[in-house]
Amino acid sequence: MAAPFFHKIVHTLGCCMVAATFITIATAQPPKPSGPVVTRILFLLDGSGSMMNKWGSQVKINVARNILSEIVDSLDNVNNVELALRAYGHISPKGLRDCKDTRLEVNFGRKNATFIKNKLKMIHPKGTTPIAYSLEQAARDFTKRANTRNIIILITDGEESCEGDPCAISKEMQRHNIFLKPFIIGLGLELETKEAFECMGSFYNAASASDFQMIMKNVIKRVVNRTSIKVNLLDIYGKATETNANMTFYDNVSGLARYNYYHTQNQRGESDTLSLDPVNTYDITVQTIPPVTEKNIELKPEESNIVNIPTPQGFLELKLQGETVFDNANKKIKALVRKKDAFRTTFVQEFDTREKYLVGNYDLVFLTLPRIKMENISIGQSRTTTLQIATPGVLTVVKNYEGYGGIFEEKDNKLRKIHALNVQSRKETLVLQPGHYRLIFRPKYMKKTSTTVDKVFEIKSATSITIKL
Amino acid sequence: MLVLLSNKASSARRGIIISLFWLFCAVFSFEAGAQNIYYPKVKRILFLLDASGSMKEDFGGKSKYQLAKALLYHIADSIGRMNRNVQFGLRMFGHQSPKSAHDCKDSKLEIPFSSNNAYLFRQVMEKATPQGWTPIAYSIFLAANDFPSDPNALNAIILITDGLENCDGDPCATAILLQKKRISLKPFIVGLGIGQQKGEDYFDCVGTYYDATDQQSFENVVNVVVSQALNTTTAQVNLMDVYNQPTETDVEMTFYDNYSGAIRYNFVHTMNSQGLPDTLYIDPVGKYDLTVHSIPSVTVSGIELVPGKHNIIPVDVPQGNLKLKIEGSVGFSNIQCVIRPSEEKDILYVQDFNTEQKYLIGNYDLEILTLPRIYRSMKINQSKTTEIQVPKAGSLVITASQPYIAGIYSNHEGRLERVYEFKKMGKRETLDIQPGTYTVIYRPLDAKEAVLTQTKVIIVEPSKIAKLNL
Repeated sequence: MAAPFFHKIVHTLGCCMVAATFITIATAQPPKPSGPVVTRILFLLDGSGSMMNKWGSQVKINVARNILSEIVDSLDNVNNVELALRAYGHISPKGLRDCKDTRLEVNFGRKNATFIKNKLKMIHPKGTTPIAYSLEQAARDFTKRANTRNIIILITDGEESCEGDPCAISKEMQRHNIFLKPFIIGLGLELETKEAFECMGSFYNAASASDFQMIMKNVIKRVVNRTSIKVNLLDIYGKATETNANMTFYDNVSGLARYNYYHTQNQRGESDTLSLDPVNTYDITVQTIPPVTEKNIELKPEESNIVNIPTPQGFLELKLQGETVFDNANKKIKALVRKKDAFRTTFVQEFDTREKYLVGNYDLVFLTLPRIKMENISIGQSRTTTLQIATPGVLTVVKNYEGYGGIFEEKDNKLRKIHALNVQSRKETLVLQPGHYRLIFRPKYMKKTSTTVDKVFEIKSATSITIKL
Repeated sequence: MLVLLSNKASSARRGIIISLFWLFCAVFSFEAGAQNIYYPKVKRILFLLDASGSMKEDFGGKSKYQLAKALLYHIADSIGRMNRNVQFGLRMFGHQSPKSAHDCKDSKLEIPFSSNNAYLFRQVMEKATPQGWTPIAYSIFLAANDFPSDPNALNAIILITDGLENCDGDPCATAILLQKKRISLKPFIVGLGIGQQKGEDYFDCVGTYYDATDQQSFENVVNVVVSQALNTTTAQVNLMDVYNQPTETDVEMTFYDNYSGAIRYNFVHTMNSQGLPDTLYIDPVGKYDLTVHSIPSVTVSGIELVPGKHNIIPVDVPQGNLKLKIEGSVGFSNIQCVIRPSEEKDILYVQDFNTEQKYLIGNYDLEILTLPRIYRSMKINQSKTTEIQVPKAGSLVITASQPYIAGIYSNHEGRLERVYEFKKMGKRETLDIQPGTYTVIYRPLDAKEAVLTQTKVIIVEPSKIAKLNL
C-alpha cells in the first residue's frame, strides 16, 4: 500500500545532533553511545575526459566546480559535519586506460572548504571512469571512528568504463556499515543508464546546471537534517488506535535493522513521532502476530512523514472450563495457532493466557490428548475471542511389566491411537480430555497375542483414575 | 478384497498351542479378555436341501435325492455321535407342493437343531417327495431364523441343489444379509451336475461353490465342506517390512466388523516363541476391516477368512524409529515435537523429547516447540533409528527496575523475529530458551515516547544462566 506523506514541520540543521542519538541505538546494538554523531560527507567527483564536454553554455567540470564550491562553503560552519573530496579519471590520460586512476584529494577535516575549493580548480578531466574501484578506495577514506554517519555523494557524467560492478560494491559496503546509501547525481546522463545507477543508491539525473544545483541542495538537506516520522497503526476502521507493538526499521538495501521502536501514544493520544536518518529507505516490520511489513518507505527531509500501516488486532484467550487441579500435569497445554489455510504455525499460545493477533480467521490445534481442532476462529477488532475446552482428567498407568501398548480414543466405533505408552516405564501419568478410551497393552516378553489386555475406561473432568497392568 | 493364503502346516500344531496358552495365562494371571480368543462352544450346520422335481433324476444309478438322503443321514449320525458339540438341522424346499402349484414359498425347517437327531434325518427324508420349485433365496432368508440365538455358536449353511433359483428371488442379496448380521459362515453350495463354471458364476456372490459330477465326488465334496465348517479357523497377521518380510511386530491392531463397523478384537501384534507372527483365533463369520495402529495407521478392508483354514493376512507397515534427544540430558522432558508427514498440514503425532517412537518409513516434517521453535525435515528408514538432537536450553533471567513491555528477538540473517514478549515484565523473569544470541527490545510500560525504547543483546549458552538487567 502507498504510504501518504504529509509535509509539516521544518527542522533546522541543528536537529541532526538530536537525531544522532537515535541512530546509534539501532546501528550499534549494545549500550547507548554518548556524544554527538559526526556526519562525514565524501564528494566523489568524475574527472574523466567527458567532463570537458559542453553542457548547455558551460563546460561540465566548471558547473561541477562552481556548485560544489557553493555547497562546501555552506557546510563549512555547520557543527558535526566533516567533508572530503575524492576524484577519478583525473590523473592519467584516456589513452592509458588507467583503471586505478582515483585519489583522495582532500581528507576529512573541519573547516576545510577552502582546501576543497582550491583542489577543485586543479582537477583537470582527462581519463577513464573507474566508479567501482573508486568506491572500494573510498571505503578507506572513512577511517574507523565511533558515532559517525558516512555519506558518499557521487557526481558523474558517465557509466563505469572499467568492467567493475559499482552496484555490487555499493551494496557490499552498505551491508558492512561502511557508508550509508550513496547519492548519485548524474550530469545529463542518457535515460537508459538510469538502472545502472539506481541499484547503487539514490539516483538523480540533472538535466541542466540549474537542475544540478537544486538536486545538490536537496541531497545536502537529506544528509544533514533529521526527519521525523509518525507511524500510525491502523485498526480495522482506519483509525490510529493500535499501539504497543515493536516496529523494526530495516535498511532497505543492506537489510540491517537500523531502529527498533516500541510504538506508543503520546500525551495527546496520538502516535509518537520518531526521528530517523533520511538517507536510508526503510522496510518497516510491525512485530504483531503475525508481523506486518511495509516496504520501501522513503522519507522526505525536513518534513514530518506519516506512514499508515494497518495492523488491526483483537485478542484470543484460551481457557479451561474449570481449574486445573493437577500439579503433576507439569506440561502447560499449548495450542498451535495458524492463519486459516496457512501452512506454518503463526504462534504457539499457552493455556490461561491472552494474546493479541491481527484480525482475521485462524485455525487452532490444541495439543491436548486427544488433540482438539478448532477451525476458522475469528478474531475481531479490539474484541476478545475466548476459547474454552473441558478440564482434563488424569490417568495413571502402573505396569508390573515392561510392554507395548497405547491409549486409544473410542469415538463413533473407531479406535484412534492418541498416545503410545513408553515401553520401559513402569508408571506413566497422562492428562486426558474427558471421553471414552481404551488401553491396549501386552507385556514385552509374552509370546502370545492373546495376552493382550484391552481395558475400556472413561475419563471425567478433574478426576483421576489409575489402571494397574 | 484381500486374497487369503492358507497355511496347512500350522493346523497340526494347533492343539498344542491352545493348551500352552492357558498355561501362560495362569502363570502371569493375565486375563485375556473373553473377546481375545474365539472359541465356539457349539457348532451348528444347517443342510438346505433341494427337493424340487428334478432331484428325482438319476445320478449314476440312484436318484439325486436318494444319494442326498443317505449321505446326510450318515454325516449326522457319525459326527453327531462322535462330537456332542455339533448339531445338525435340515431345511428342505420344493417338497410340499407339486410343480403345477408353482409354490415359491415351498420351504420348511423339517429338523430343528438338537443333539443326536440323526434318526430324524432318516424319518423325515423318507417321507418327503421331491416335486416342486427351487426358491433358494427365500429358503436362505428363512434359514437365518433356523439358528437359535446363541453368541457361543458357530453356524454354517450347506446348500445342496441341482438347479438355480427359479422363483425370481435374489440369493446374493439374502446371502449378504446373512453376513451382515453375522448369522453364519458364508453358505457352502454343493451343486449336483450343474457344472463347475456355471455353478461358480451363479453362486459366487452367495458363497463357495463345489461341483459334484457323480456319487463319489458328491460324497467327497460334502465331507470336505462339513469338515471345513467344523474345523477351527485361525489367522495370522504378517506385518511386512519394506523388503516384504513379516518382521514388524509389537503394534496394536483392531479388527472391525466390515458391515457394522463394530470393534471385534484388539490385539498387540506378537511374535511367538519361534519368532513367527502368532496365531489368532477369531470368528470366521463375516468380513473384517483390520487397522494396524502404526503411526500413521494402516487399514486393510474387506478381509474374509477361509473357514477351517489357517489364514495369512499381510499388511504393509514398514517402520523405523525416531529418537528425539536433548543434548546432554536424559529422562523426562517437557519439550514437545509436532510430527507431520512431509508437506502435510495435519499433525500426525506429538512426541516428547528424550523418547523414541516408531513411524512408517517416509519423510516427515518436525516442528519442535522449543523457544524459539525449530523446524527440521527428516526421513525414517526401515529398522533404522533417526536421531534428532536439539541443544539444551539456557535460562534467561531478566531483572528490571520498573515494569517494561519487552520483546525477545532472534536474528535470522539480519531479520528480527519475535520469540517471546512480556506484556508487562515483573521484577524478575525467567525464560528457558535455546542457546543463541538474542536482542531484547524494551520500553517502560507507560512511556509516552517511543524514543525510550532500548535494545540489549544477550548470548544464551546451553544449561547456563544468562543474566540481563534492564
